[in-house]
Amino acid sequence: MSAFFALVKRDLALALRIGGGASFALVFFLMIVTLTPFAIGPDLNLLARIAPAILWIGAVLATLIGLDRLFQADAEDGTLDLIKASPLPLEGVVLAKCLAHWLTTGLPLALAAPLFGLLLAMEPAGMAAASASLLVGTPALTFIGAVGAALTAGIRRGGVLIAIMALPLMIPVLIFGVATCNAATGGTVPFATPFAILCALTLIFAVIGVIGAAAGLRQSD
Amino acid sequence: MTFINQLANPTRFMALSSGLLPWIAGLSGILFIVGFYGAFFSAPADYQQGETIRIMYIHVPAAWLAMFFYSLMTISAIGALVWRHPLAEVAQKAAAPIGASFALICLLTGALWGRPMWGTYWVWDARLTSMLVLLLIYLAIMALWRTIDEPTQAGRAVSILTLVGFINIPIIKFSVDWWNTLHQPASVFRMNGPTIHPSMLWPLLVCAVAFSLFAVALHLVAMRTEIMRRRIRTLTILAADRAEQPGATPGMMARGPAE
Amino acid sequence: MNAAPPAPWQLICADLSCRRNERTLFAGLSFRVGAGQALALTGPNGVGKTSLLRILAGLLRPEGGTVALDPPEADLDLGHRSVLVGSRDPLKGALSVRELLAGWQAIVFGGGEDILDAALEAFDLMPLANVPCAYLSSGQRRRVSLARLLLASPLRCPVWLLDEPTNALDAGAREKLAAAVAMHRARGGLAIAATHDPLDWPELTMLDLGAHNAARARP
Repeated sequence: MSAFFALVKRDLALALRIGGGASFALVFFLMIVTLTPFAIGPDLNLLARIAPAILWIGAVLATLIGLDRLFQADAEDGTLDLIKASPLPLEGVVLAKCLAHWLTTGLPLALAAPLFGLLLAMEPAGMAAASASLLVGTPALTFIGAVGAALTAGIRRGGVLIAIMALPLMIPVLIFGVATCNAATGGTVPFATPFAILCALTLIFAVIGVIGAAAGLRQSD
Repeated sequence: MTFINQLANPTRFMALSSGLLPWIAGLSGILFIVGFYGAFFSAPADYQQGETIRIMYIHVPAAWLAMFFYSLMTISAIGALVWRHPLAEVAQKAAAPIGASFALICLLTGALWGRPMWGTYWVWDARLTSMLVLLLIYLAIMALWRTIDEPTQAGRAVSILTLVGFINIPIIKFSVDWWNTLHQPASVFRMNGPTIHPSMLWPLLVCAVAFSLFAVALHLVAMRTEIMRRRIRTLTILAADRAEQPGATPGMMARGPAE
Repeated sequence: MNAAPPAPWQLICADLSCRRNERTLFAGLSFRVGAGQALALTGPNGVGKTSLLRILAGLLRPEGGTVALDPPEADLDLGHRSVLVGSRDPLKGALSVRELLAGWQAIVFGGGEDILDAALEAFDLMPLANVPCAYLSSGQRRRVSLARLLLASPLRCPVWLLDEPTNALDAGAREKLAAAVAMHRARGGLAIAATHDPLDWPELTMLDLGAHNAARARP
């Protein structure tokens, strides 16, 4: 267990130091939120209606930031070979790296979502729902992305490939994430229904993602 | 030895700035007291906007400083690229977070000001939107600084980005204005009207000067910090080199910190 | 540390073969390395020295044949009983040397501060302990990379696998490495090194993979 937390701590330290790019996902998220009104116009009623969609598409794209280096950085310099000798099973390694990635991408996005919701004229209920849905939904995005990251760990130009592989698999999370936000601000479904499904998706993808990514790393040699 | 030569000019700057800093900070503090007294007690409330007009005394100086620091970065970028002056790089790097902070203050106060006016914290008003884009450019520049460790290499790269950004700012401003009028402006309210009563004008000017001096003091502190950070980096590299040849020239190391 | 004489165990490779990218690198390779011994793998580039080390480290599955420690240890596979120092240095520029090694300890090897200090001392890294890895020269990076050998407990990880260990090392650092290997062998460990450079380690057994392949190719 101490090896697990040591790995999380190391990845966080690397992300927060120079060259780490811990805040890039958040900045990218803000940029997507800012760009959308330029494309569709500053009509606040329209923006408020599509705000959950903008926030969630922003979150999905921002999650991809840093995913390409999730395993590749360690594969390139031989750290991965060293980590494979750890008593921690490879699944634990993947889980630790996913946790560190989520703490520097998904979590800041969820926390900043209400602030960015202001830009899109969201109601307070909508902001709370957006934050809650991102909080429970973004781990699923990281876990799915981790599979792509593991499969491209040894490939030099893996970044775009990860996006192409992971985005289709992220669609269910997107559907229920946006549905959760919309359910909170009216609509026919009670909030708990899509929210529970979103939680379930995160749990399912935690299992699939961790096992899949570990298998991907095992075959990479 | 080139490292140490490069520190020559910053050394003079360190001496000068340490003498100037207390005066600038002190003057800024006095002006803040005068300016805020004028802003919050002496100046009248606006007949239309009521007490919220007092946000202006923070909002307007912040907007002006956000733009001022970008201009300062641009001049420093030219200095860094053309004359390769290390102090210009330092000035440029120290300016980015300060300019970004004032842009953020401008946006947040703008949102607070907008709430009673518009009934919502944010409308995509042309001025505020342009400030938001300026903040994004600041963030991009800071991201680039955060990514490259080697200061000179980072300085070159950021200088180019800063200049490209500077050339783009009028284009962005024009585009945003055009985009805004195209979608019939949501704002019926002007940030600073065409005329402003002298009872409001003098506190605004005093606040602007106080904020500017405060910002200059912050900038000097940030520059000093950056110079010291670079010295520590240089010393660390020298220490690593020295560890390689145990017998070789300990004098080189000893001279470093004294410079 | 127990003062008992080294256990009479050995690493046994039987009929190993390795295929990479549709090419057979080597086949029918059998050898034994006992406790306290050292083996140098030689041969031209592309003959499979690195692949053999990765097989021994449990990172690569051989095409055929077996690798085993005798007597076997039930609860640990070979990957956990060996330390591989590959040709790349797994250093992170943002971490200091001490932080990096402490991280390896916490994640992979376990062990306390005293072991870390001893490892730093053995490769003359103490003056560099607080220097970020980004500022190190290639020889210094190699020494940091090699220091992990001494983080591993000799009882748990008796097998040292070294890929071109002397690359970028100056004469002083080579001596440090030779001393570390000698100490490891004295404690009952074994070392296998793939190398182009002649190693001045005592009682070094040589295994020329190129010659092995050539001998097999002859009918």
